[in-house]
Order: sequence, then structure tokens, then C-alpha cells
Amino acid sequence: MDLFEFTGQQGLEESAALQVEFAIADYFDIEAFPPLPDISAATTNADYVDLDDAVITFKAGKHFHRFEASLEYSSYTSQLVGPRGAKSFENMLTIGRTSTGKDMMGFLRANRNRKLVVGFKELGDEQYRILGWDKLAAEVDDGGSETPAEVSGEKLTTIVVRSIYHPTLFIDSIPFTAPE
Amino acid sequence: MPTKILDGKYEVVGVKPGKVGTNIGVVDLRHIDEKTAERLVAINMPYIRKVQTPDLGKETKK
Repeated sequence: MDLFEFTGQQGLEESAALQVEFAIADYFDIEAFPPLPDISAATTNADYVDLDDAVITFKAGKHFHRFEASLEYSSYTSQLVGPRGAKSFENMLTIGRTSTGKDMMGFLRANRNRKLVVGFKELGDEQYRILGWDKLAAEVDDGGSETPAEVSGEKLTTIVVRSIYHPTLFIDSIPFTAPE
Repeated sequence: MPTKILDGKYEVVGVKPGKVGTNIGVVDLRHIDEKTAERLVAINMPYIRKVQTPDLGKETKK
């Protein structure tokens, strides 16, 4: 991997906060992941993490599922962790919904131990960011549900999805329908 | 087998026609119009392609 320039006007659509809709897939529903970006062929920094128009291939009848979170209750961090010289990525995605009803409880029950691949976008993003990859599924690290005492309090169900090693990878398109 | 949409001008490949997440948002490939299909083809969205019509132009007379 080479050192590339990073200059000039960037990110005219840059914004904090995430889009409300998340794409959640069962890791074992995926038939094949596309090859990782070819880092020897990169010409910009973005090429190191850009899957471009590659496709994630699902098993028959399987696909990503849409999950609609509440606005401004979801967040994401990607941290470099580990000793100097052996740094790796630790990615944490928090999905929050201001509801604690049976849909949320059922969702937590069904997915608290499931190996996942999750896609999301920041506000202003065109591509999806993917957590979890081949042999490195994302997992639920934390989560829960809270109903405060006051009506003005923060009622919230959250789930924190964690993936390691790879940075979040960028991909143009993901399927919400099954393969043909 | 790819599925033809929009009077056969475009084909959905890789998935059954339905919702896909793309650079321009979540689109339902069963219900897009031709303008959207052209946009998706232009940005190399992998689940759609334009059907190549054979060139019926010049025929040489023997």
C-alpha cells in the first residue's frame, strides 16, 4: 500500500449523523463475499476500502433486511486498537430506536447472538458502509432497552454491533431481495 | 435468468426484481421508470443492465 495525496475540496455533502435505515443480514445467509479491494492496484486512499460495484451474493431466498431506527439515535465509531505496530480496526455501530415494544424485544431476542453483516450510510453518503466480512462476522457487543420514569426521559432500545480487523468497507449496492 | 423490465429495454440481473439499496437510495426494480433505470445503468449499479438491441443497420446486398 502506498501513501497518496489527500488535497483539494472534499466532502461537499459531509454531515454527522447516520441515515435511519440499516441493512442487517445473517452472516450465514451469505453465499459469497466479493474479493477485498486490490490494494496493490490502488491509486487513491479511497481505493483501499472501496468495493465499488461489487456484489455480496446471498444464498437462495436470502437477502439483507431493512431496519428503521430513530433519527439521531444511531452512531458509529471506527477505532485503531492494539499495540504500536500491530494496530487493527475495531468498529462499533450503535443502532437506536425510541421504542421498547414487542418488535424491539423480539428483535433483541432473535439477534442477540446472531453473527451479522450490517450495512449503513452516514447522512450525505451514497455508498453503504459494511460491518462484518468473510470469516470476520460482526457480532452484538451490547444492547438493551430502557424506559425512563419521567415522560420527558429517554426511552430507547439499542443494539451495538461490533466488527474487527477490517475498516468498514464501502459498497455501492446491496440486495434487499433474494437472488434470481 | 435475468428478468426484463420496462418493456424489455432493461434487465434485472443477480436478484429477483425488488428492492435494492443503491447510491441513489433504495429503489424497487419492479416500479422504476426509464429515467431512473438510465441513472442506475450510468452509475454501474450491478443489478440492472440495458438490453443491447442488435444493430439492424446497414445490410450489404449480395
